[in-house]
Amino acid sequence: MSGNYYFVIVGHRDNPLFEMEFSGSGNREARKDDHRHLNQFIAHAALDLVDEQMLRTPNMYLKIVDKFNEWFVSAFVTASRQRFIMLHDIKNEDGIKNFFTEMYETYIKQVMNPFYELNSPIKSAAFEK
Amino acid sequence: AFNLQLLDWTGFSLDKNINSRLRTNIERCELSLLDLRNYLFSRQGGILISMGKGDQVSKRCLNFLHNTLQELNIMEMECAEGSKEIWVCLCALEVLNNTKGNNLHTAALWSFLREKLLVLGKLCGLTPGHKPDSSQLHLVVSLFGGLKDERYLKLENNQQNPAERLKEALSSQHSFEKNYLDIAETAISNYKHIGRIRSARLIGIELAEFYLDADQVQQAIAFLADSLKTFQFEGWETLSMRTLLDLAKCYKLINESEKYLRTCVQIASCPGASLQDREFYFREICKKLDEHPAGSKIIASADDTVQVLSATQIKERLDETTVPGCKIKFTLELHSNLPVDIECSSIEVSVVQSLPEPERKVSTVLEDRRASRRGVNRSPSVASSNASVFSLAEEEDESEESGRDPGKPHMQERLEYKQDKSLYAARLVCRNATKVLKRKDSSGTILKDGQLKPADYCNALTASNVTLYPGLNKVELHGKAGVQGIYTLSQIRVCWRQLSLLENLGVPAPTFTVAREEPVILLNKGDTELLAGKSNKLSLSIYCGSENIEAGLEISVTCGRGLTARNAHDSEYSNTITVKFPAGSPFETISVEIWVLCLLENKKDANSIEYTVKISDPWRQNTMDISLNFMPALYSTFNLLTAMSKKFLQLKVHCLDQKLSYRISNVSLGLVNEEKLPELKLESMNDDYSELVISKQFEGAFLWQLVSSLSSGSNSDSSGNNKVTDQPAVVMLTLTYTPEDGSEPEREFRSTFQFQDYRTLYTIFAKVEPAKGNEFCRASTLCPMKIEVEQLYPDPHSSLFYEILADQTQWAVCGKQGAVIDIQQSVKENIVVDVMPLTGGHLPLPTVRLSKYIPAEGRGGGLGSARLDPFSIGQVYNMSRTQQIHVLPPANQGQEFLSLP
Repeated sequence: MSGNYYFVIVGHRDNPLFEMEFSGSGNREARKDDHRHLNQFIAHAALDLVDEQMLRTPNMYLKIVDKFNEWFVSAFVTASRQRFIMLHDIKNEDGIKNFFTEMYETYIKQVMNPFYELNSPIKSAAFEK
Repeated sequence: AFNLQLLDWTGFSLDKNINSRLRTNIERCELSLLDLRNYLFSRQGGILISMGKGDQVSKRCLNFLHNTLQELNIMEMECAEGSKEIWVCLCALEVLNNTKGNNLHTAALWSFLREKLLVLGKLCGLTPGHKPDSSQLHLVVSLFGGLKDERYLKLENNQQNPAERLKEALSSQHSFEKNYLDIAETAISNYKHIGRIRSARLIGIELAEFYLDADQVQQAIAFLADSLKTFQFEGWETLSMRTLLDLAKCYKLINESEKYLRTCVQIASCPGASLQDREFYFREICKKLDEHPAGSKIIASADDTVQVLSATQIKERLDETTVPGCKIKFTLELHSNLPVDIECSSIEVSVVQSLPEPERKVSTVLEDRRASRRGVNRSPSVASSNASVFSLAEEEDESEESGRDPGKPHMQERLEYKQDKSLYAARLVCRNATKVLKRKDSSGTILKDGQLKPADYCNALTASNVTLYPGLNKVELHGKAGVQGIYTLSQIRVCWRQLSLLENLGVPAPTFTVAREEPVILLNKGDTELLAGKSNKLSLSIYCGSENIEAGLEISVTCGRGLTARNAHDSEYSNTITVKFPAGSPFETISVEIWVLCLLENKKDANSIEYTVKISDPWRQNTMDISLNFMPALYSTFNLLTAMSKKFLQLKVHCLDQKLSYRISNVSLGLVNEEKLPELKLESMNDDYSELVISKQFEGAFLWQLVSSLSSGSNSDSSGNNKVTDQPAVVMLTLTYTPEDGSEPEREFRSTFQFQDYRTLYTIFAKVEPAKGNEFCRASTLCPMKIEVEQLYPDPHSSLFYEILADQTQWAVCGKQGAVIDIQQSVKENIVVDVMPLTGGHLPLPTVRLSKYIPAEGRGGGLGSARLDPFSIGQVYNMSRTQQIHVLPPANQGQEFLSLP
């Protein structure tokens, strides 16, 4: 499973709570910073589509909501309407779905932490796994 | 041929006619992947259009384009650089030409088209700031080669078909720019139309870059600023920081120094930016500020620069209330995000009165309601231009929504009843369903952003010359409270050099209450009792509350009957006085002394006298009643004493003053109703003192003999007209008194007493004699008791009843205990009754009680039906009342029973 991924959790006020970037093959972290903020731009723009789609389907996993050049945007909406957004450049629906569910579980653990305030940025080592 | 090198990148056509060329190619298996896709989609599109589902075409087209591109990638099809983009552009243009109106998918399609066109433009060197070199020119030609424009139909009305338009766009730098901008604007407006502001912003950012390249900085700024708003609002730090940096560059380019400054401030305090950037821009700020004229003011937002963490009022005491005009202290916790310390000339927080006085508030709310019913639009942006109006409007909203956040469902219970009033259904109704369930698109939330306006700082909390260090700062602010009400801290202003950093304080904004404390009027007596008949000092004081009391405030004091008052400087007492007060500042108590004098009249006991004082209250517009209890300074008591037929009047004057003794003089007693009782006279038996000093411990006693000119003797033979009258006698005691220390003038004291039955009608003389032959009375032996009743004055009640009452442990009455005697027959009546003492010792004689005997009417029956009326005290004088007799113990008893004498 190669390819590049960018993952972001967006809170209720459309603010990013957690961001992560990774690539499937090897360590290509040394990507330009420029690229990184492009990812954010795309993810940000895709929020519109997520908002639109999440009202239409009972599923939490929204599949691919947007495409942008080589990027696909998949989204996942938690029960509390936190939005997970994933940018990826290859199609890998099952893998992403699994990732989302896994992320969701981690997120729930995080939310259950009494010291965590909803909608505040997540700073947790466990999340970075 | 399927995965041959891509030679033909003509897009599909949505022409109704079936593309027979492609179809034959399919039959011959001579087509490329692109051809096949084109064919399939054009068929699909054709059908959709003929079904009237034009909007589906654009939706599917987008997917189709993405998928096909992906496919091409996966199959690693060899294709010329830019050929795919050409194909995408052609396809998108074709679809967009054929679908009308805006919908979700055309916007995305426009945006996709824009992206690809930009790629093409870059490839061909057509973007501003570049010059196409020969290889790029060559590329254009070869790209056009693969574009079979002959397959497109010529359109009427000068409209361009996709191929023509694309060719034109790529023909020159100028036309590329024109076309690109055209498409980008369409994409943005389409996005905005469907409420996807964020997507529009993304295009805006890229457009800004394009404009920057084209040296059209102003346009770029517009787009960047718009995007920045969105990013900042939603808290995407990285994005806003990038945008800020871009924006800063733009402002610098066009030399917009004020805006540049503002941007620099933002960057310098942006936690997302690198320290290098922040410091650089901080230096830029300083540089710019140096260039600026010293007097000018530049307003910038302090939202991120200086954050207000908390604002708390400091009170000296916990229960301290803030009153108008008093000093207010607030501690402000500020977080400075600037990388370097700044020396602020002042930090101010504006204060807005959020609640007017209660009465007024009600009326305004009502008015507002009426206004809103009339359909006046109160959009927040309008209202916020005036802070006080806004707060009212908000309040009004709250009262309407019963304090709910408009975003929250406002649920209400609704019960429905059948006709017989039994419950039929209960349901929950969401009253603001349309608001809650509305799709939250990014347009509504993001676009409202009021420009910061400096608030009214005329009565603000201020602190001057404060250094703000990076990180947490604590600042103490001082201010003065205005009129009564609830105040909200609305905006903070940090003045640093020429910069004024403004920030509206968030909700819930800290508030403080300025309360008004009403002045209170008090009437205090000293620690001693108030005394009637003597002037007493009272202090009338005003606790100023929160008011400033001006000198000369007048309060009127009205006394009830019998009470008079005077000001300390007056000499005359009067019923109503006006008291003038000196000036008083808040929380002070000012007092004025007044003197009250309470009439002392006819006081015969020590009970206190209650008087009411009415004091006008200028603040509450009413009068208050204060009741005062006065102890009499002096009072007198009266006693009628009898000695046989003589009557004495004893008058005692008591003093209740704890401290002072009184000098009394001119004591006299007079008969008031002399004309009715000419026979009575008073003879003083007092020594001729000029004065007598009495105090709490020493009362003054005076004695008068009541002399009746009718002697008992002359009375006995007189006939009816000289009968003893029952007329009560009234005497009046008058005296003058003055405190011994001479602090008060002499005052007169009077008291009247009335008495009746002031004659001794009968005298009783009783004695117990030893039995015959004995020298002493001995217990257990019968002794005769002789009673002598003598009438001194003729009395209508001549039938008398005597009783012998004896202690049954001491006496046994052996004869008649009681009997009726008729005294008229003889003036003296002798009765002998046998009594037996039961024990030895000095025994008090049995008592003889004399009563009027009133026989029952009609029957002269026994005692049972008759009535006994007692005489009043003094009418019967018992001469042997307290006599005792020595009784020896019985002779036959042992020594041990001997009672000692």
